[in-house]
Amino acid sequence: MHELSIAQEIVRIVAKEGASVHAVRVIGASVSVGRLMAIETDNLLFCLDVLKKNDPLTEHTVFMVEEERLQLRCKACGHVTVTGEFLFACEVCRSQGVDVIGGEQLEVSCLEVECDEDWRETECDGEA
Amino acid sequence: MKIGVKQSVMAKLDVKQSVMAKLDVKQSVMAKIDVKQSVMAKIDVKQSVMEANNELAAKLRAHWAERRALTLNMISSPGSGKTALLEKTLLRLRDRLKIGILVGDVQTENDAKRLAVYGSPVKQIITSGTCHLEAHMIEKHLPFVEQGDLDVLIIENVGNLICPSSYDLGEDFKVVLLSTTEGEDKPLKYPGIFRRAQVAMITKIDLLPYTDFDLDLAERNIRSIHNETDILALSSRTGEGFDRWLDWLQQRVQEKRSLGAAEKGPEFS
Ligand SMILES: Nc1nc2c(ncn2[C@@H]2O[C@H](COP(=O)(O)OP(=O)(O)O)[C@@H](O)[C@H]2O)c(=O)[nH]1
Ligand SMILES: [Mg+2]
Ligand SMILES: [Zn+2]
Repeated sequence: MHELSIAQEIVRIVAKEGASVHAVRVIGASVSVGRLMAIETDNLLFCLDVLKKNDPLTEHTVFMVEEERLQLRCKACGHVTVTGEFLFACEVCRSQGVDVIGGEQLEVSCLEVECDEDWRETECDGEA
Repeated sequence: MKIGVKQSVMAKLDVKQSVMAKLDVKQSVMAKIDVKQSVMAKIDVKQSVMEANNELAAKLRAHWAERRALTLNMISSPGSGKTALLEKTLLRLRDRLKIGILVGDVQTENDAKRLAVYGSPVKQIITSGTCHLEAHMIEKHLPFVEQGDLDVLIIENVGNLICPSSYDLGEDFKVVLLSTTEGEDKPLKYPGIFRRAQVAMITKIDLLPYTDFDLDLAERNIRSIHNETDILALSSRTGEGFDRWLDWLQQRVQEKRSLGAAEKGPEFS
């Protein structure tokens, strides 16, 4: 059940990042979870939904979990295999000498926030 | 951090202002809609959830690099024989190596008591429910076992094959244990830890005659997850296969000692 500690850290990051752009509310947050991190999505979402209520900024946040698939680079032929299975072998040459180059991510990838007007006028770099 | 604000040049009025402005109903509704669109922003955060743990683990690693202390993180299901392995290891090596031990369990000091009789510095980490050790727990308890210079620090993680695999503790090697009563397909069921561990140890081989455990199949399963893993098979009860483990350990200690001068690492006290 490391989902609980991970959810705590996710809510902390979301609240911190939201506060840093002077958000009044974080509407949505996307979390990218690598296949190798052995995280149960439903379990994580359950923990997030409990913990988010502790902070008015995250109270109504809708969390989305995206799975990052396993990516393996073959040391023999260089081919990159992307798989939803736990098969550590090259799909082209069948070699088991592979480096894991994806599937170990665990990050808060992006937020959707509602900000107040003052912040937008002072901090937006006018890109939009 | 990049901030993309969609339609940021929209209405300047916020809800309160629009009410204050005494606009007619229709206009103020419009203003509200505009406001809502104008203040929504999508923010790229790309922040690692493990960052706090990983930063501290990196500090611990630098600390042990300076001291040339080999550090192992032992991971298995409850009851695979981690503590028994450490008892026998201390018994056999206590005259040759200075070994410190941090042992994590959800409750009780039992394992620390079992290990303390060999005269090595041992500290129990009681996690009170948490199913794995994190770097900050190591940082907190480290000073209890690090009096003087250690050749080896062994961390016995909480019995669990899933959660501990995601937490870097700054160790040199993750060692995963699998006992002969657990079935050969454990590596396939828990690929995360078997992929990350550099050493896999099949324990309790004295029980092989009483089980249908297929040692070759277990090794093939481990290799199918990680073909470069060092595989050792042993019994802490009879001592069979133990010499190879002690050789492996002492060789790694030598390698760590012979590394070039390390930069000054952070202190923990
Ligand atoms: N037959 C046999 N029993 C063992 C061996 N190693 C450990 N055990 C027993 O397995 C049980 C659990 O061992 P322990 O070291 O506490 O496991 P841990 O939870 O991984 O620390 C204890 O009853 C040990 O005596 C072994 O090599 N052979
Ligand atoms: Mg134990
Ligand atoms: Zn290949």
